[in-house]
Amino acid sequence: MAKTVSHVVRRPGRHLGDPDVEIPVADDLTSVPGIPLNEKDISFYNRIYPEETQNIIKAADREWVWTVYTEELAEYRHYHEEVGKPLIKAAAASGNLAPTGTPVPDVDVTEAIRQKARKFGFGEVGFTKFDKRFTYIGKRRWVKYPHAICLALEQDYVQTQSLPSMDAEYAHFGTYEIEGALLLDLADFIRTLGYRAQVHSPNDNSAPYIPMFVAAGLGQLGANGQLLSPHFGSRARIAMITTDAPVTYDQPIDYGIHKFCQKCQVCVNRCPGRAITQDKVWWRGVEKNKLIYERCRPVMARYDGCAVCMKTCPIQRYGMGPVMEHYVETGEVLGKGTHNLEGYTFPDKGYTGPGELPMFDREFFEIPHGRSEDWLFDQFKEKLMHEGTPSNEEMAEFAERVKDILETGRTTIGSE
Amino acid sequence: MFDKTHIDALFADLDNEWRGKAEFDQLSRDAHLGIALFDAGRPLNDIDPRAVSLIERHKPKG
Repeated sequence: MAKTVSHVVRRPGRHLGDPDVEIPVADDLTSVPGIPLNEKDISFYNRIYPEETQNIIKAADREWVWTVYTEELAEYRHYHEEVGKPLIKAAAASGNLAPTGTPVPDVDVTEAIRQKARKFGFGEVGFTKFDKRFTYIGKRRWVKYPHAICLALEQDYVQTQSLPSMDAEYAHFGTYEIEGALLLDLADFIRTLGYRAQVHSPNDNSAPYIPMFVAAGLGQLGANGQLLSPHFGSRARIAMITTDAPVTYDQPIDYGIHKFCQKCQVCVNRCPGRAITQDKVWWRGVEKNKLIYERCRPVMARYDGCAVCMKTCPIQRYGMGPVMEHYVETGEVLGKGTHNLEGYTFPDKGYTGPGELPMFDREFFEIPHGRSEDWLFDQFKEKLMHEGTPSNEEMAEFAERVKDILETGRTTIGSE
Repeated sequence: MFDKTHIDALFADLDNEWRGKAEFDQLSRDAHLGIALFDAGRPLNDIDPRAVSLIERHKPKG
């Protein structure tokens, strides 16, 4: 049944120079620009229970994944880490670099940066305040400059639709590599305008970036926990540059996604790990479908990064415009219930189509969890309970491993 | 509705005929969108005719 249109969102085309696109938002999909949130709760949770990067708080499973990666994925991940090192290092130091030019009065710095970023190939570019509340503990002294430039670089379409696969992983990590270099170039450009710029690498995150992308109007949070932007949904790698350039902020937009995801639910239904909650909950001051990490991670690790939730998202597959137009015309979700959108293949489970899910034993989901030292202590406790007092050699080995973890340090660097 | 057999055959042809050419990416997008519209019983007016041709060739019979 056709729907009434509440409003139409007009956005720049996918590439620089493309005509603008218009996305109709049905009446029954309207909620709020951005995301329903409670500012007091956001401030409370981030002050009393601040976030830290998963590279630290989930380090135990990040070490474990290397034991279950396929040979090809392990080799590629090693390669990606080597390629990424100089990019991450340069990004980490970028905030200290001095401007190379002098500010020119009456120059629209916002549009100059936006156009340059679009020329570089960023499909989405938006400006907002860097919300310090979200900064990871380990980055709180590192982050400089008050304004955030949010940047999304689209991944290859064809490769991504082959998820889960090594081809899709090449697109995923390859896009990080290209993006890492482009960010440094864009920061250099900002310095020529007379301002400072700090690159927040996508592989050395300073904070969860999605809240700021939503605040900048670049999309809305999908049920799959990913930013859904108009042209490519979540099929992108996101990063940020902070600057002291006097930019004009963009505003959050209601694309209808917050309610659309509750109508769609394809990612919820198709997630092999059953890791996405059907209903939204209030989490740290934001209303969202909560991802259950412990159900997601074991699948991601064993199946080339999984990302079925990205593959089966109609916004990702077809674009927000066609999906919303279809919803307005028919009241239905484009592709829902079809093999084209919902089907996927796991090598050892075969093809699963709409209404089917691969099955896993309980043991499949039992993986190391938490910080490295916490997991080590959990294992030590288990051993103590089942085998009694450890020998002096075992105690020494335990102490040595804790020492190794502490000496290695808590790195914020990593990518998924 | 397109099932896996139809979909695999369509994209195999798309791959054979267009991979490596400038139009490959856009035709892939149009093919996916076209299949979705076909499955939903909607017209394919805005789909590239070359993608429509593939859809016609591989669509489920009946």
